[in-house]
Amino acid sequence: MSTEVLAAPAPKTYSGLLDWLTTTDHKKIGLLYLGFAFINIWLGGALAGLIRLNLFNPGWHIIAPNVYNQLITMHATLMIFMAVMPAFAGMGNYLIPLMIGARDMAFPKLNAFSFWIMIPAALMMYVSFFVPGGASRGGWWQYPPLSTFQFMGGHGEDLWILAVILLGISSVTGAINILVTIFDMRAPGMKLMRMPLFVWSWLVTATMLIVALPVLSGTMIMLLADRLFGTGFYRPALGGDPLLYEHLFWFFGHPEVYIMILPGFGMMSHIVPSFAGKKVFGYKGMVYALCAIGLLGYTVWAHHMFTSGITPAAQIYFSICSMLIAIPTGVKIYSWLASMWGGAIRFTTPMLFCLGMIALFTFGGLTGVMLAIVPFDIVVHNTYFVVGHFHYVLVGGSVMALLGGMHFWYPKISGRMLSEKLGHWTFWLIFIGINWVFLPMHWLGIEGMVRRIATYRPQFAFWNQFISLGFFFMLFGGLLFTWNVIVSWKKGQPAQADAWQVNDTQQAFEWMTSSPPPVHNFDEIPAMPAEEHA
Amino acid sequence: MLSFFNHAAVSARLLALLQEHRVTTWLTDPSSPIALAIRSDIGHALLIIMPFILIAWGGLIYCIIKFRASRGHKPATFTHNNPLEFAWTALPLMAVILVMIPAYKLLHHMDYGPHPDLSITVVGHQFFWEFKYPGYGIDRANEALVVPANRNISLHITSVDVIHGFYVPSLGVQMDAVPGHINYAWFNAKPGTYRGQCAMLCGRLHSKMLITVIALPPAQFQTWLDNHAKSGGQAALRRRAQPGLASLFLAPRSLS
Repeated sequence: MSTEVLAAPAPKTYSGLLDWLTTTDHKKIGLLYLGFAFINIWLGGALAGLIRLNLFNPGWHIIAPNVYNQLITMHATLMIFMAVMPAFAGMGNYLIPLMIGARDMAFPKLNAFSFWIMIPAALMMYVSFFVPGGASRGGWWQYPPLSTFQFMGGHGEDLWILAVILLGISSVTGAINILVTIFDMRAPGMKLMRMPLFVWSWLVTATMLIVALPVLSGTMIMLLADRLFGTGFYRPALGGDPLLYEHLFWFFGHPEVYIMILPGFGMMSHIVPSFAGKKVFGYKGMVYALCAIGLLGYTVWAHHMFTSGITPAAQIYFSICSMLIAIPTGVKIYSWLASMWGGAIRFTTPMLFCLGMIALFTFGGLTGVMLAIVPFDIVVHNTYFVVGHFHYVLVGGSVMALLGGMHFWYPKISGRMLSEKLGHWTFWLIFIGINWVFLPMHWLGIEGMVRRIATYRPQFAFWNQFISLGFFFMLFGGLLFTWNVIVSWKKGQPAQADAWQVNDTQQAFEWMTSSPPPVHNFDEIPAMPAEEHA
Repeated sequence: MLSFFNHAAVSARLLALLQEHRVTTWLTDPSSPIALAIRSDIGHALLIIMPFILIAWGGLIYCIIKFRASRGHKPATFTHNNPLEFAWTALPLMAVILVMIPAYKLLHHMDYGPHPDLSITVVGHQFFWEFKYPGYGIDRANEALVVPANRNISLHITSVDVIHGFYVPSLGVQMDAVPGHINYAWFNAKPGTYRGQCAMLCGRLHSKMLITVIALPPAQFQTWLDNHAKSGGQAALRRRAQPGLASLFLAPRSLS
């Protein structure tokens, strides 16, 4: 009897657009995430431009107050949920399988789903601007009762809530995929404590996403019910409590900001040692710090609520925990410096972004520790001091790290080097722009300028105008980066496998395969280098 | 885009405007003992925190200058330094404790105010503040909050619609007005006029929900009171004993 082995039917391959629409290849999906983030950072940036335009002139003539409230709400929403998070997810998607020596994620089809579910969410966000009443205008925290139907009619808010729920599904499914991939698909010999730090950063981030996002979804579903189905979870007249919402929202909201920085930390731990010509300093400490930040991030939420009437015991507890987070964060910063100490630093574009990130994020950390001190927070809460603080850690921290990472891994992804000259110009424009725009905000906050106001008292005019001019530095930096990415894709210098010549010290798997990698990532899964016994 | 000269002309007018509307901040002109204490507290905290920041920035600059590849040195190979790693974990921890101790004392004093000389109910509305003086029959909406200077004023703050924020920075006061809750704050103001505004996004006219506090010398305040009060006398206040540690778990309020 002949034994016929039935070959599995050859997988259908598509080309062009249909390929991109149906792909389950983590590398293509990573690029889809990055493209999505790119579109939305420009949209979010345009909203920021309109905000700064309106704040240039302390009169209302340019933008109506209800529209202004939509601008500030949607600027934050787009940047947080549709720019920064997808950008890090895209980098994670592309790099994690490569870094651990796998050929794809654990669940490739789920991976595609996690991306594509963001599209209807984005469409709902965009469409919401055009429904009666306009887009959501309650601030990205959406505190009730303001966000309930009685005070915020029209369905822009409902579209926002539904979109956020879909984005949460995207994040949770993506996180599950990442965790299973990391736990199950590492190359032989790659114990957890020998994993690249970017992968570690995603291990912690994915865990945080899985714990935090369902809380957000539940909170939002209750808000939607209060709005549309007559429930009273947050409405005092029906026995509910707006403070319930605040606790629930910030239980998600604070881990969310660590979710937005941890992958950036992971990238820093690859790039800094690479261009110092050394191995990273204190690998174990870095891992423990990531875990400590992930854990402590869940204990601090009510530092956003110091003025909401919580008891002194609560204030003290949340204040202490918030200050404690500075300790593992400091460990990371000092470890990056120690990684450079005694090294031979090459000032490539990725390295410049990392150096800038250290400088700016440290300053954001300083103002963060100040905000953790309750008496100080009482006089600057909800002022521009806070706006300055979080932009230093988000733009000076996350975005700088992301730009460093994108310059670093672009050759791997595209097979070509970016222009170093354009990269250096991009760095300086953005570095100067960040300080120009966000440093004066701290003084405005101390002077008493509150957040989310469409117009302000005359004494705040000078610094507001100064700040608005700084927007152009960031705009031009962004344009240069975009130009660099587009032109280099076809015209950049061809890149080697070890495009930056870092693998003598780094021994990273992604630099052991071609640039770009073949569709199956590696011809042969790399072997772990012999373990060093320190 | 605004031409540079237009901008200069605008700035000249702004400068004049600035002189008129000189900002008083809790930092530059603390106008209550709490504001002064806050400034002092954050100053001391910064003395403790800044060294850690300066070491980071200093280390960064040192590395950039000293450890350039162009200097041609072979990179070092160390990846550990246990005493260093211990130090940069333990020292920040000690700093946190040192910062927390005075902060806790001030926090306690801010949350539990002294026996009030005058109690006022503050009610947030979209988009104005209402001030009631219980016992005097005074109910003022969309007007300045008039109080006696150098006296303890306790505020009981709530809202009838959405969450607002009662915020007067030079007095060191910020407390949310939450519907369904009554939040407590207190201050003791030097004579003067203090400006603030709603600090919690509350809708379309959030930017316009301003606060003015006028602290009159007691004699002048008495005159004001006589002109505005509808019934005499202040309701007697119960005396409470000084609470212990358990009180931290109670809602902030006036003590004694």
